[in-house]
Amino acid sequence: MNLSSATDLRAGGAVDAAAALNPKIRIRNLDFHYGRNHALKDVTVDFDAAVITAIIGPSGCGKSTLLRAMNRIYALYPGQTATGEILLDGQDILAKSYPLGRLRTQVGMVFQKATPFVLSIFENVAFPLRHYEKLSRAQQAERVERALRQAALWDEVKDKLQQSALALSGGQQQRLCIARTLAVSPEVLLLDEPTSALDPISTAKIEELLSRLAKDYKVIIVTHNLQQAARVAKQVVFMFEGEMIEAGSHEQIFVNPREQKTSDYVTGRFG
Amino acid sequence: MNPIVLRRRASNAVALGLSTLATLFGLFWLAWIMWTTVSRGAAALGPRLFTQMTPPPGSDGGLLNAFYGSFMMISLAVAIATPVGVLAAIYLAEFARGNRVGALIRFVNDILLSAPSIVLGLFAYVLIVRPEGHFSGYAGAAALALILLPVIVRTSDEALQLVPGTTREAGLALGLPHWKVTTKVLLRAATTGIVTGLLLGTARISGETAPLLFTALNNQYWSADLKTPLANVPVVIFQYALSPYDRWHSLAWAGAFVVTMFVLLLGILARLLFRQRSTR
Repeated sequence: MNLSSATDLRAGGAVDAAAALNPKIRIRNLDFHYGRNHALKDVTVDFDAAVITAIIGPSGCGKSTLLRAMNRIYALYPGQTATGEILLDGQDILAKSYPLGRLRTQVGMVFQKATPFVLSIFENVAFPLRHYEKLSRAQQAERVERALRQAALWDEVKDKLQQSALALSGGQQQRLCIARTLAVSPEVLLLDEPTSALDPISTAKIEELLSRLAKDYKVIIVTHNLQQAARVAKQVVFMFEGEMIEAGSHEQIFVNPREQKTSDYVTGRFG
Repeated sequence: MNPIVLRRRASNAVALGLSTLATLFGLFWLAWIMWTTVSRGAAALGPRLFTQMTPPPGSDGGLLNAFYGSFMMISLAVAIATPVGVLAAIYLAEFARGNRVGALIRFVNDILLSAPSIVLGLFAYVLIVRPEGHFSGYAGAAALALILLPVIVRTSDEALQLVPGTTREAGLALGLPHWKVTTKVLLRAATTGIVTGLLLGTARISGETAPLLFTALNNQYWSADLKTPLANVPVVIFQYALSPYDRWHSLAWAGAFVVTMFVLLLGILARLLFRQRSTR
């Protein structure tokens, strides 16, 4: 890619230093296995608080696996195991004693393909909400509206909240999924290639949305689109063949990478 | 013209022609069956068919008691087999994924699915009719439920497995417990598949004769009591068709026509539901 096009380089400095001192998530010596397949090898990396982090790398490098370890969604499948430590605010979420329900309210996840439930637009947001809180009709309506506004979807759906969520466009469905995740008030938002199935306009809307959300949530996005990583992320983690090769500021990875492999990847020599 | 294009057009025409012929061949028999049942049953087809009881030889009548008996037994069978079947399918698709118990249950269910219906009729006979000492509608419904159950388990299991894995993950990623994701999210996504299976299963038991011969038997007269032997359409058709009386023959044909139409309608309904799902 053309490095000079990475224009909106934000100023580094004091904020970065503060964030780096107090990372939201710290991963220590993480190994991940799909059965006998060793997918993550001794990964150690910090995710700074209060910035968007992009995880980049070629297909099969383990970037999605790393994301899926952070809310233990892999636990659904027997044979998938993670060893090592993932510290969320200092507590190891891989520990058996860490309650799964709590973890998943703290760490929300949005998938590559939008996953609306076969329910109305309103219920898609309200139903998970009701699981956690006893809310009156009015309170539900208010919380649903707030979540939909946060996800920049409210204006498009406010007149058809009772319609099926499946009738929305792909980009709207994806924003609905983000709204649904935000409604249960997570601290961390994981996104696994959230725009790879969307058109450029929908993609731009979601990227805008992520930049706004980064003020209140720790956002981690997996993307195979380097331009996207350059546009939205302040911190970038480069993965290759199951290993964490380099993590650093946006400027470091795209302008002055320390590792040869990073340099080769971001300049388009492979991947 | 280019010989390759000509050859492709020719083979296209041949293939299209053959598939059209195959379709017509299949439809021809269906049309013939419908025509035969209508024309032979014409004498008995009319309001009387649905308002009068099965007649003694030599007089006119209808099949009201048989329709009623069939309706009661099929309804009861559906009411028994649906909840059990759907719950079993939930266990198989959601909680026994890829483990041995699940594989074993699926295997046994497939055997039950292909078991001859007469075997299941005999089973209900030994289990209910013998100890009770008499034939009954309940025994008939039990036999039909045993035939319907594996159909529902199989189709519901498949419908649930067709729900994209990411939908399941999305529910769990919200921190919802697995049972809640299953009942609120996955079952809804699989509803059309489950209902389609139920309709096709109901169509299947509507025509079953053998299991009812040993269980519900038949009843010449009106009975609304499931504890007594009940008249039912398939067995009435069987007995009347074998009889030497013309009027009984007509009634048998008319009964056959109604059952065929009923099964056809259920099939069409299932197709409509299925289409609704795929266009959504």
